[in-house]
Amino acid sequence: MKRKKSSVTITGIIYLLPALIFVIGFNVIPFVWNMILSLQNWNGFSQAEFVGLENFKAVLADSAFLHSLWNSILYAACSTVGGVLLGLVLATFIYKLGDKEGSVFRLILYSPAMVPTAVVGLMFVFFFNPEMGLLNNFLKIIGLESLQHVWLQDKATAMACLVFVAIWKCAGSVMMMCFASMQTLPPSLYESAKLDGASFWQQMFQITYPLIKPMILLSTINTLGSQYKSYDLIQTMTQGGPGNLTSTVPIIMTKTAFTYGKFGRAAAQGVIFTVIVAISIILVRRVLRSEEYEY
Amino acid sequence: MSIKISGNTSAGVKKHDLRAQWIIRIVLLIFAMITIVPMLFVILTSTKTNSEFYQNIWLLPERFAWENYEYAWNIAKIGEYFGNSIIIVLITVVLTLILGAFAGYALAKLNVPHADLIMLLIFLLTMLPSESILMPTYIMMGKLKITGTFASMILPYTGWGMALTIYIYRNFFKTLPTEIIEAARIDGSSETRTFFKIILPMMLPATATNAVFTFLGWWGEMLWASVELSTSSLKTLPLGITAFVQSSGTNWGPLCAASCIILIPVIIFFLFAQKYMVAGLTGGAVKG
Repeated sequence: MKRKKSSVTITGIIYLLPALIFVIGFNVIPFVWNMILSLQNWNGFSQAEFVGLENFKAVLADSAFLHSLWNSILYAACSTVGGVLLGLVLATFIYKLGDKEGSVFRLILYSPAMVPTAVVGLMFVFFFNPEMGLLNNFLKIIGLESLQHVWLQDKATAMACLVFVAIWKCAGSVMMMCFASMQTLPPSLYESAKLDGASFWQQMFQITYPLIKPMILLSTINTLGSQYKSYDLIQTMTQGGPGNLTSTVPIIMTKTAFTYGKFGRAAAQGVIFTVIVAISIILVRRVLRSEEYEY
Repeated sequence: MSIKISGNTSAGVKKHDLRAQWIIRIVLLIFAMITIVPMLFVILTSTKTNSEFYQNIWLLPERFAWENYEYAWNIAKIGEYFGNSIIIVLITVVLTLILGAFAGYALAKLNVPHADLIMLLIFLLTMLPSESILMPTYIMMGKLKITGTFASMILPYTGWGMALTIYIYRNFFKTLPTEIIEAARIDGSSETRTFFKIILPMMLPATATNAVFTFLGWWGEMLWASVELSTSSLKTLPLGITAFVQSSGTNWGPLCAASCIILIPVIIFFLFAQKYMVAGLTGGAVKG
């Protein structure tokens, strides 16, 4: 019997190996390689030379990079907070509305999550277009022409527009996750609360939200992680402009590497960015940590 | 699945509650409008000629302007890019699902030592921002002499999407009773035979979830594509559309048509796989 068991283990390892090779080959090796690259001076062609922490010093002294880093954090934080709050509110409303009616709204509100980001970008370039765009034309119809802007080129509105679109895209999946989680709670949980005359919102805040907190945490981390990968949306909508006003780390990084040929420096930017993302995720975990409830 | 809460469905419907219901309905309606109107507007514009569009952006067209689609498909080469993207993403999906299913099964049912730890490590890797692995992967493709080819898209996509696939498969296989597999073992079936004869026919739900996620994940991918294919004549659909936007800034009819073309496979997936997507989104993290 023991021999049988070890032969099962061997089969298991053989089954696991091909996938593991892919995971290691395209995640672990590049990650380590990137660390090494960040300590080197390399233009893509010549021999790489070891320069120690020079790249990090240069990157941290580079105001354009710091500006992009700040933008990345701002963009990720605002769109995550906005997306999660909105998603949770939408989930609550749909839950309250009941299954039949809710499912129509669920379908519609989830749909942006599936539209490829490049298309979302294009759609909103169109939406924000100053002459022919939906927004300015809509403002004209309702007589608020004074509010019209050159949305994506205006310093005051460009970043806000990007965050708006990011929230537009990400709220749906938060809604879906939270709603699915709410549905698994047994209705009996609410019975005594109802007998005590607790209002709907009291029930939500005192029973539902604490119980689905693990799912809220999971969707917050998910959203945060994907919002930090802000390349496609910004690239299609503003290309980091006007100037470098809306530039984020992925944008400046690809420029540093592939336009200016400074691979080592771009690698250092990537390392710093990874640290920032990791810290953000740990922070979110801290803030949203909760006790596990049994029910 | 019809769980009802709050008092509104019980016999005594309160006036107050009914009003709350209407407020909720209206708020949801507003959000639904904000969600759907930009999309409908793009679809509408794709059916209008440019002169119709410039006359009045709100009006319906006199007839369906196929020429927008024709222009996008042929002249802007969206058709060619569509084909490229389909090839890349479909091969990626097949490869990811095959490798992921074996790995997930091994980690769930085949006594691999430290399976939980391995899963956790694999999963942590997906948290890495792609920015930190982009350049070495680019250099790696150069060393393998496959820069700018289909393989240079398919192989990294497969590697990067693997973790989620393994995770979903593993959670699914864990729910299958081990007794089935043990019974097969006692009957003298080899592990591989058991996998193909018994497990394979049962894993459709997890496979559907994974197929949808992998497909949608890579269908619109841009960062890696724009780096890897920057000097190649091979372009994927998202790159093609972005290039089209930048080259013909105000040619809105064909631009909107191009957007609609990229959405067609997405809509097809959405209609067929909605329930699997919800299952996947919650990823086994919710338990009733």
